[in-house]
Amino acid sequence: MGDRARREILCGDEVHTARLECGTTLIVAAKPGFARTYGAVAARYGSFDRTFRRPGFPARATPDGSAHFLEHALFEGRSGNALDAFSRRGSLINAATSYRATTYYFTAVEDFAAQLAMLIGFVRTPHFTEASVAKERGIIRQEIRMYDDRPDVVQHRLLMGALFARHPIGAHIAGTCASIALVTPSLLQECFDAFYRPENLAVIAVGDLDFQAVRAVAEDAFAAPPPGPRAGAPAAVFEDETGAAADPAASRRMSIGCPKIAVGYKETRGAEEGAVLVARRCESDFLCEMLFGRGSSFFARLYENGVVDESFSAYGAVYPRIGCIVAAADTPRPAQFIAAVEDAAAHGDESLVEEDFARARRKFEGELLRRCNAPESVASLCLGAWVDRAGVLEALETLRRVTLADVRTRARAVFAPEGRAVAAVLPHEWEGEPAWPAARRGS
Amino acid sequence: MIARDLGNGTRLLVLPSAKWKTVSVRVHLQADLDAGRTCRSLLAAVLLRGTRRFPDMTALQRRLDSLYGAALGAGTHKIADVQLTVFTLNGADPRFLADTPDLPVQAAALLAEVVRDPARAGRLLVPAYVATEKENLRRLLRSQKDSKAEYAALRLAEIMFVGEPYGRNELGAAEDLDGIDAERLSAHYEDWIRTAPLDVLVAGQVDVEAVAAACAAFARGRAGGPPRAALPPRPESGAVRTVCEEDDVRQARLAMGFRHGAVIGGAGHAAAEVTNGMLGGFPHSKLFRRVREKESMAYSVGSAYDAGTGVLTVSAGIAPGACERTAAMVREAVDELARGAFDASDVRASQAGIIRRARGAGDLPASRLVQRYVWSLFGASYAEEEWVRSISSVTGADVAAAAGRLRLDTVYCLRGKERG
Repeated sequence: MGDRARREILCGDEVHTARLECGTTLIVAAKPGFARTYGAVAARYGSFDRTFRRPGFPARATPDGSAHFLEHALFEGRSGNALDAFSRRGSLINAATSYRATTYYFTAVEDFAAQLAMLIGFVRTPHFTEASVAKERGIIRQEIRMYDDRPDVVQHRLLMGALFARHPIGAHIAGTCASIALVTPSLLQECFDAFYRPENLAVIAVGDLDFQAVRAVAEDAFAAPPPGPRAGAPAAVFEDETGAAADPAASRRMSIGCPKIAVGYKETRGAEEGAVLVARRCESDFLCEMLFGRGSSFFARLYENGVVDESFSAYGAVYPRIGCIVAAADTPRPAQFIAAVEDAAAHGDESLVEEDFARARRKFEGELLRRCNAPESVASLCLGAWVDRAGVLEALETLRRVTLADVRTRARAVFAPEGRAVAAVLPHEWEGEPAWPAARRGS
Repeated sequence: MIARDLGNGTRLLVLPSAKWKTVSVRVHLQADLDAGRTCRSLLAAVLLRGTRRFPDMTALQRRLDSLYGAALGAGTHKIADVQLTVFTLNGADPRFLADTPDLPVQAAALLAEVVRDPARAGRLLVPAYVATEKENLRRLLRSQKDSKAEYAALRLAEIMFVGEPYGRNELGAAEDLDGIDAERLSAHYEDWIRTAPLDVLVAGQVDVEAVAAACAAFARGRAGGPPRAALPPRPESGAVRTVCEEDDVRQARLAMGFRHGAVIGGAGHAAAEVTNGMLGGFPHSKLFRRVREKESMAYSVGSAYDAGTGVLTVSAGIAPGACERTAAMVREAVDELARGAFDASDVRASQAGIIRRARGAGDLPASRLVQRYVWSLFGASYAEEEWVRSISSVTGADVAAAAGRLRLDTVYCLRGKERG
């Protein structure tokens, strides 16, 4: 047995967290009365880990899209394909790669224990061949082309590339057709050995489940020692980012109906994690809600003047070392939209008042409850906390702890004009006035 | 489930359950998928702008925020020849909150205000709101081409169902917008809200009597009837229509429509669903295994069965020059199913996937209620155990027969301007 389990209550439901004998984290959240059960295995390995270093090894640079390629390749096992195997049991199976994690997950209504063991088996038993890597490369190439035709994805990448000069956030998680051409079976094996160590993995289960029973299944599935040399946990290597945006404006033409404009403000920070990181995310959420939320005077003014519609969104992206605040919309008046965001950012901290703060807090409390409605979203909460190296309840406790003064301090720090960039995706036929600074990038 | 007739063509259906952390309230307003659809699509947006008590967006939003961030939404959908306008309000369950024990009642009452007591200027809906929402809708219609997969599905329906109600865009038509002003929209609203069949669906831990009392506001002064039956489009026999269009895309989108005919709850519905699962509904399907896993031609490829229209559609994102080849592979896969060229294990796998979906639907608030509503439009009543039984009893011979009834009607391909 590993060490003692921690038992917490999240919005009325029990959540158990424990460490398995092998070092893997286990999180089990109860959803009494639910038919669906969600199981996942996650690795702390994402597109941010493009360049990494293992203790005793030199830094290793890998092609963009390596973590995502590995996600595809691990589903191709020695005795068959995971998608087929789970699908034949009636279960929904998928995997996802984000900036900081890769997650393999399934939803079942029966036979959960056997399928959890099967999933752990797939993730722990790589089988990379030239043929299977070539096959996945063809599939991923189509996936990349699909993203290339999605204006929201293109815009996000444009904006991140405009804000950050060196950080891998500017590259797409799936990589490019050119970068994935460099991925080989031996590269995948090397990345697997580095990042799929038991202590770098988590198992998450959510449903009408018994914690001890799930723990026994997971202990059993992890009982065999991991193959390959033990080298210690890898760490991503980052080049320094300055506070200034790499490029104040980036644009592209696509076949779309209306200009899509995003204004971003960049942040550079230390390598924060745990409660500090969660607090920074919470402050960002308050800031976005109070300045740009549906109840703000900013939103009402722009909506009533036809500058934005329901497509408007503002959000804070918060990671170790970097982050940004983004306001984005489909807008027929790009110049007015950009000017309004800049104006709100420049006068940010003066407009943050107690009444709006209290309202936002109430709203966030309700939203957290809504997130606890479904096994999938509870699992994503647990996964997010694990990736951040924070407790499952940290987000809720932070929400109650954060003060208006914290949010004001944050507003003063984040809205520096030199850290601002604009990304525009424009319809081919758009002939509007040049609304943003002249420098442009892309095609 | 508790059903109440609130009178005047207004019905209430409550699913009391302590399973969720929320209380969700939905309103379904039924109408024909006709020329008035643009007005109703516009109304779905205009009514969210404000009520008499909360007359602008800020006031209404602040009210929602004070109800712990209750989420208000509206939209239009199509089911066979029916246009459904849906308003939703999702609020937190007060069991988990420090105050507001009557939140479900307040949520239902607020939604009733949104639907029945909108902000007005004199007797008209606020002209400025109508003007802004007309432009927003115009933009939304233009932006339907942003998602290429959705756009290909939209074009497929327009081409395949030309001349039939289902071929119309449920969001409305841009050319209708010019003729709509506050006067005309208000007249349409008054008539529609008075006569359209209106269903209120509530899921969560609620006091049924108190919610029913709040929902009486939906029924006040109406003169409606029960929802009418939905009519699926009539099958058309004729040559296969093939339409290729070009756009600035890096990936081609293929969409194919097969007429089958089995509708919700009717003969052959279960067999059609199992057949769809085997063709392209799951990762063990013929299309997924062949087009994606064997040939590595696609990342996304699959099929779906719409039991509202009795039509099976196939969708794939593929390399620019691969439309014809992929379409041929789809036709071949359908032929194989019709010839019985599949394993018994494929039938079982497809059945297991559909049953998992049916069992899991009960975990989603409102999902059971919506299912019951939609089935009732086809004169059928949904019961989980009965549905699971009918899926389980589908045989290989049933699948072959169902696949044999699939008639390819339309092939649509959206591809890049430069081939290669």
